[in-house]
Amino acid sequence: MSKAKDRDVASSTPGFVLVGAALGLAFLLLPLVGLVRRVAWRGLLGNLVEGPASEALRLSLVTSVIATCFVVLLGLPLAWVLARIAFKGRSLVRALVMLPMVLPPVVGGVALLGAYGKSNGLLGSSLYSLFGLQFTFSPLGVIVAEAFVALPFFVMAVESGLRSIEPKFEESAAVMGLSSTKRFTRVTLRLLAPALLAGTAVAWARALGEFGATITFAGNIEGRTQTTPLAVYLLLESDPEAAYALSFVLLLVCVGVLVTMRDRWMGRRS
Amino acid sequence: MTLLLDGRITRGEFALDVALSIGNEVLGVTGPNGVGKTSILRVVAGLTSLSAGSLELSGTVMDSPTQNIYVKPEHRNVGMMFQDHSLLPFLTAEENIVFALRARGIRVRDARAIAGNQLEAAGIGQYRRLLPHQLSGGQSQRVCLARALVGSPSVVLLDEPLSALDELARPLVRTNLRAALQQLDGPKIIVSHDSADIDALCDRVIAL
Repeated sequence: MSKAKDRDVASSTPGFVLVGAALGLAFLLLPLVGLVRRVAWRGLLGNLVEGPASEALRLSLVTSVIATCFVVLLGLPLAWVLARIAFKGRSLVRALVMLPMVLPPVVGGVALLGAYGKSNGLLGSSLYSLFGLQFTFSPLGVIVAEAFVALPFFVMAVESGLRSIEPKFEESAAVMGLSSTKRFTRVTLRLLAPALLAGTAVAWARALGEFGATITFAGNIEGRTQTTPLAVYLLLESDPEAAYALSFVLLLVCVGVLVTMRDRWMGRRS
Repeated sequence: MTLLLDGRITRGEFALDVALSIGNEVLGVTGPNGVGKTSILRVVAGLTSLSAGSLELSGTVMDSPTQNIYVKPEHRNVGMMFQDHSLLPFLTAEENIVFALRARGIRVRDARAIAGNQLEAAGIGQYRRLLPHQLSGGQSQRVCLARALVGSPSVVLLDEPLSALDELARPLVRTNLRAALQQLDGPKIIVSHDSADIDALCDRVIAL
């Protein structure tokens, strides 16, 4: 006679669920296979270092890195306030911070025009008349658009990272004699490093892939505001090989970001 | 050096009135779970503030809601050991002790020497280069204990200092701790469930 044994009833899966899951996976994977299949491997490097593709890659790299720095500088204090300070209207502030994540990027671009537009933007017209700063049709606009859409992703990752730090570490550091600034730099930031890395990676990937807000707000000028996604869209007509090559690069970058993050985004740990 | 605590600690629904005067001695605090033993330590360290009354150390008011005085934990010079081990996970055992000494303004070279001696004296010198997750519960607790006693704190607060030690290691650590506490001037409070620990370590006991 065999011993009594608990059966895992919850995970005995009906067949149709497995079929649905397989279809879902296939639906996601098929386009990736389609993309990789169309890449012209022999001319890959040539397609990337010549003409509009190389200009777009260079611009994308520069603007997305600057935008990511900007996101970290603004996002870390924001995440701190959302995670650590209890104030009235905190959920409203959090909802506003997360808004660009669900907002159609084109709408984001229109909103950015309303704020930083040269002729009648809320802040843009004075920035132009006082300092000659122009965001529209300039790489500056690309950076602003990328930072606008990427910021919520960073804040989300870092806020949840801050919440998962047990208070005892910072408390014991306080009792040892460390001021709040030193606790932040020597204890909190160190404990937060995985979430910071994940948030930075996902924000950078989002900035790199930005399309809608960029084309609406900054325009599509080769060498100035034509980032890689914009170039892909245009090259698909004139030079499909280059478009596939650029798409492949973006795909690789995103896979790299996922490997970096594993499941740290949202604060989950396996 | 005398610690005077006469006040009320409120945490949510729960309120505890305490009146304690502790001189240059080791006070044991016992009592059932949830009665507020740890809260007393947190108030003395400055991690929780009093809702009424006052806390004085050697005549200086540290916490008094009526006088609007509250001295932050970093300005109280307290050595505290938390019940759930709070070694910084990214530093080795030795670096954790160096960190505590550096936080008290001791220079790196001196801090390293003191930390090394402290670990040797506690009989855990062989674990100095291990990270907290590589230590057993008992080993980690001994490092925490060593860390709470370094750097000449004015007040020592120990929350269940020997709870994670097995019966084999316990008597020796207890004897060492007794000796270490006698060398430190000032008020010392030990919270413990274990009557043998309390008997061996404390000059006086209160039950909550």
